[in-house]
Amino acid sequence: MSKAVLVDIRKCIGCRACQVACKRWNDRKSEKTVLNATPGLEWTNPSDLSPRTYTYIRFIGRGSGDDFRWHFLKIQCNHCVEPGCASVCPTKALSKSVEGPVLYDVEKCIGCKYCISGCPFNVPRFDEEKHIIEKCTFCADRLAEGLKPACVAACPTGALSMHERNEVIQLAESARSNGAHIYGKDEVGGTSWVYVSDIPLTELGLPQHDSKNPTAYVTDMLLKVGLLGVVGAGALYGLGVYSKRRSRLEKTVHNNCGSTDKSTASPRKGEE
Amino acid sequence: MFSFGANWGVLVALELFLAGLGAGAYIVGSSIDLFGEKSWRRLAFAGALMSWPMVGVGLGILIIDLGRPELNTPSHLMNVFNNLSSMMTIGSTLLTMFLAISLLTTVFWVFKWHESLLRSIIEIAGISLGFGVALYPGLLLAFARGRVFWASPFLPWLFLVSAICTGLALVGLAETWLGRILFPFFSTGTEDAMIELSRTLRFGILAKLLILTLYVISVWQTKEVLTVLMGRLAPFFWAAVAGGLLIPFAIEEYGERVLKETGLRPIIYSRISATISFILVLLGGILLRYAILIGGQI
Ligand code: SF4
Ligand code: SF4
Repeated sequence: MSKAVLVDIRKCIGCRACQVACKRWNDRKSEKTVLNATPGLEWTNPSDLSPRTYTYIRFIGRGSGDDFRWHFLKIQCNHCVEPGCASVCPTKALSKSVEGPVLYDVEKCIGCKYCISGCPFNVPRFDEEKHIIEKCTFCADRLAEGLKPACVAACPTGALSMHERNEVIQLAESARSNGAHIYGKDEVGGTSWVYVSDIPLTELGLPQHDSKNPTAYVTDMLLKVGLLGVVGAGALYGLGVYSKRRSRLEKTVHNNCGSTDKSTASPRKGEE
Repeated sequence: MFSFGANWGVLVALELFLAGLGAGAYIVGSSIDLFGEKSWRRLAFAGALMSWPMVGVGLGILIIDLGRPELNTPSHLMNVFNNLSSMMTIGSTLLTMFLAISLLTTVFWVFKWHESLLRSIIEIAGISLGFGVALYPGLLLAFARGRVFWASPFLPWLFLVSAICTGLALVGLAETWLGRILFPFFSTGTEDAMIELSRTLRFGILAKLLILTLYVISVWQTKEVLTVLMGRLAPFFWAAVAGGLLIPFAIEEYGERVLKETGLRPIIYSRISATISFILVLLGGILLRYAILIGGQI
């Protein structure tokens, strides 16, 4: 059965317990961080994922005056149902497990970094010291022991909760029917971390994606490339026919005028 | 330093350029051999001879640039062929096959098996693989869903046309400076071929300009466009457009005008102008790839 996590950011209070729990369980060393300099994200710290930061809370200020509110958005690998990172990885070092986590096999990785560009959520990071890809593991080791991921276990408000994926989708759908916005049910073919929020998640900075899974995305792109190729080939053919006709016409006019070619040093092709 | 913190930096741009350059040179050379005059063969040989070193060096750079140099053993690198639905696996396969076939073509030239039907068959296969190698860098980028600036179906065609332009420039450059020295055993009737090459190059530059415009329009909504057209990468991008496309086009166009009016090309003008325009086309090819590659990541 495939596990998934519901991230209900309406319940998040920004305590960062999940951030700390992740650091501790995954033995991530501390690193020097600074507050995010982007207006509206000022209290976000650390301000991005890194090889030592598998997850962080993005502090997003929205509105003004009495309407001002903070939204706390947990960022980590979304453990896509059909992961973009795994679909581009040439070595199959990344793969989706039946239990839910997208796993990384360090033995196979050649360090090409294609997964970094192939991930639709900008998640994988390359550790330049250890020469490996780093990203949230969904605490696959804890899952194997029947435990919840460290961040889910640490969350004091129930903003993070783990269930089977179909249950998560049901919970998300029922929140939606009550006016909430959801993200991850369909995006990029679906993810195993599904968000619920009171404002659209794309307004909080999650990328706008359609529901195409990686195979459909590549097929679609390939079709467009092919179509352009056909149009281009047609245009080239048309140009060829036109220029042949034109040069034939020019030759005829030239011959009828009875003029002779001045060129002796470099006769053009077909005129020798 | 010039990678601006991007994961795929200058060396990857160089690899993408060299792969296209090698494939382009081969396509140009073998097309000349298959469809051109016999007296143009010196250029055809030059194309084949220069294709595999370019692709080989590109592959070498790619391997050196991998993030796990301590594991760069042949058996570990074989992992790159694990995922047949990854464009990197497909690209690596194409590069390997192309490398073999371009080397084989060169062997046929060196042993002067000129009228061999087998060579023609090999050249047709090589041209097909060459198109694959020239298209693959664009597809590699276009399939990366995390980079909206690369998500355009125009990108593979832009890289393909650029590959052919740079291939033409490389073959032209080799003929201009090394033709008589390197390939004295071929006839010298290459003047016509150079005129045709120049015409094709002008056409290629126009096509590249058109596809580049369409590409930029197709990614106009992305914020990366600002970085590339007006931000940190603008000097590289505009140098690629002005130096790599407009100036060489003007030079070649002027040469054609002189040819039309006088019926001949002044030798001095030919050599110097051809050299400048060919070198500019090559530099333009690498600058454009660099601007697009880095632009998609920052
Ligand atoms: S979020 Fe990115 S890294 Fe995580 S599974 Fe999806 S594609 Fe892979
Ligand atoms: S860096 Fe490793 S995990 Fe990422 S795509 Fe390359 S081989 Fe796969």
